[in-house]
Amino acid sequence: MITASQLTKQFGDDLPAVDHVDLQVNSELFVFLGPNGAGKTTTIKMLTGLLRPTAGRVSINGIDLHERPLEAKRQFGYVPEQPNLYEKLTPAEFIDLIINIYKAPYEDSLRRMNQLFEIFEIKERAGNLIEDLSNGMKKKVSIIAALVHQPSVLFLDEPAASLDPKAARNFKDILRGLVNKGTTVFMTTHVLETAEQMCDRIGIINKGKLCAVGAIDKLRSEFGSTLSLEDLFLKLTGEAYASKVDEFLREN
Amino acid sequence: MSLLLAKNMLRIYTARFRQKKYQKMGKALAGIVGLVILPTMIVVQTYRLFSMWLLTPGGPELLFNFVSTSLFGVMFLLFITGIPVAMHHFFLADDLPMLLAFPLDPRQVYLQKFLETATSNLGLFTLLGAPVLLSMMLAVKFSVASLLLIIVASALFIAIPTGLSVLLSLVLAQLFSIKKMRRLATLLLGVFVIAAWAGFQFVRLSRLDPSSIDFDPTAMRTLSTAFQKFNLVFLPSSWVVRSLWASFRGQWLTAAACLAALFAVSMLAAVICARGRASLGRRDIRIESAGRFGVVKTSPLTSPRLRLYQALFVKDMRLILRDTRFFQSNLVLLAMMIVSPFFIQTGKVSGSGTLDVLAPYIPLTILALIISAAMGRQNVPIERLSFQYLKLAPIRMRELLFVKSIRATLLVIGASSIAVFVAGWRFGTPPKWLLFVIAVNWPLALGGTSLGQTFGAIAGKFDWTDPRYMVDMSWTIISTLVHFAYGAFGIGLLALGCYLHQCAVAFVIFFLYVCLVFEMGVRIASRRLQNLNWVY
Repeated sequence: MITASQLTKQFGDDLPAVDHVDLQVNSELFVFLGPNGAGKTTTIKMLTGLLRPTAGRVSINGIDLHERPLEAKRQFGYVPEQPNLYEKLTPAEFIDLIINIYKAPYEDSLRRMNQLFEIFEIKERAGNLIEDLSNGMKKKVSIIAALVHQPSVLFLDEPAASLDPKAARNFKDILRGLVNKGTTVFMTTHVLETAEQMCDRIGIINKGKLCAVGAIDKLRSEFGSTLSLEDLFLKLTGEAYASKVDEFLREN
Repeated sequence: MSLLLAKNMLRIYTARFRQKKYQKMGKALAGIVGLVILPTMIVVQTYRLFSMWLLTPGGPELLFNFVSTSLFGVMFLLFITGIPVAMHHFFLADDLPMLLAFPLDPRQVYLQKFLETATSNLGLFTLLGAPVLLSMMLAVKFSVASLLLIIVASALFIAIPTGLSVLLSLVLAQLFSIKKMRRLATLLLGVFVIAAWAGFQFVRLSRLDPSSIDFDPTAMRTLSTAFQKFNLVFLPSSWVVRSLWASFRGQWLTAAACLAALFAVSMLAAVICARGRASLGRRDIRIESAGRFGVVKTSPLTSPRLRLYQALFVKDMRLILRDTRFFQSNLVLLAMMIVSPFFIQTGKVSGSGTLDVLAPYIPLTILALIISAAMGRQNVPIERLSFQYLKLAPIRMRELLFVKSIRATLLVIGASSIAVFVAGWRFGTPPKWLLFVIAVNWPLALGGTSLGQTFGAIAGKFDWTDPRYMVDMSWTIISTLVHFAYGAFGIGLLALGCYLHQCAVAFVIFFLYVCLVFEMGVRIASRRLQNLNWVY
């Protein structure tokens, strides 16, 4: 379970990047949507302890992230938007490091690592340096690192970006299966179709403020029953500039 | 071209000045130190060389030969150090694909890359070449206006070794994989640095240093015969000196001819490099490296905590051993430590028995301290952007820093102990004094790495592309000064205790002092990393 109360982040004298966000996510797949620069990544970084909030509290499975950070961090895995892996390690060495850092049961974790290597088709490249892998492969390695220690909470920042369709499908199936077993998944994405297919609930953030939270059907009925998720998203975050697009196409 | 230049200026400005509030104070402090210390180093070096000219019999001809030779050495050094830099800028730079996708002539892009490579050489030239030229200017009483001439000639001169480095890297790119070649070039550079350092030790530069007791005014004359070999008319280093020399004597035609030659060759170098790289762009250049390693071996350790420490230790060692740049810099430092006993001068120092026995070990202790500072400073930024995984992980930062300090300390004490035993064998020092030196060096190295690590945590960057810029030069200088103060205070405590015939007590206080420094270093670094906002 992820709980955030009055979560705020202000960089310098600028407007708050995240402004008093309250959230509770419990054993479900929660998709966090918002335009570029809305505060999605800042929120996820505060939820994982990478950024210190200016105000507000975060707890993971009831453990306060700032009072008991080690216990709280043991609860979750995180797939960052940019993998930024150790380029001079191999995927196998990197996952081994993660297993040891999380002090996960060793033999079980190695077995899980091998299974995930097979699922994501990187077993053949497990002995190559990460610097020699493609971006998609690196993303797969970061996904395996997040899953291998069996966390009960997963934070995923644009996880499907640069994955091939087969890996994306496998990953979706894994996520759905984990959620069914009680794992909490907090995911950001720009792909609304994925969000619509997978999520139990969505949250939409715009200019740092959470402007809607709930199941898609509930939000539809709240904002207009015929709206697609895309229309709903645009209604809450600002309409697309249809007239300006028309004007552009006319003039160019 | 001007757009590309503007882009780079903006990048430098953004990296240096557009900082967050909490970073500004540290930056300002480091900037002030940089502004004071770096010019001071140049001024001091210039003054020392100038004093040497005044005291050396041999006249203007010797001066001319010496400056030409020194500049030739600088040119060779710039050529060697420039090879890996050229490979990076011309083949591996992150912004190359984007720049080449723009509707720009690739030759313009590579001309810009040439300027970037030459700019990388600027620092080394300023530290080594500028004092030589400035001291010559003072010795022959140039006018201040000739400073302008020095700047112009130097700028053109730097382009020539840069061009040679780029051309060699272009040739090698057709034969081997670039990454492999960069590794090899970096290793060769390491060997070259050690050889040059060892060469300087044999030449005994102190004989040329007027402030040294070894100063020998005739030594310069002995060297002048060798110098003449490098004062050849076709060498660009000679053109720089000849242009300055001729302008001093009012031989404007010669000065202009030398400057014109410098200008022509430097422009030619830039154009050939840009065109050569642009034409290579259409061919298949092997950039990939096919490093492959075995599967992970299961650790025999059963304790999760010990396995964690082992994993962190092994990870760091892999990062160092597999990144040629780290491997080379660490290798150079450790090799310098190990071979240094062969260059220590013997001789009575004070007439006091103990001091005479220990005198050869003082340089070793200072070197170990400098190396521990350098190794400690790289401990944190070596993680690069992957540090996010450690920040996310359920581990205490102090545990992580503890493992890192121990790893760096082990490397330093390994090398320094070998050096101490080699020196002991060379000077026939009794074993009890060797143990005494080791008992001082080991704890000092432990505190030194922790202190260096603290500077790495405070001032280190995680998004560096070149390890030389992991920590700002000004912070490096501050750190070195703090390390000297730390070492001087520790050794002072010991010396005072032994002078008062309380060696045992002094040792206890010394150990407590080192433990305090170690603990404080780890605590400060740990707090800094815990509170770090990961904005990358």
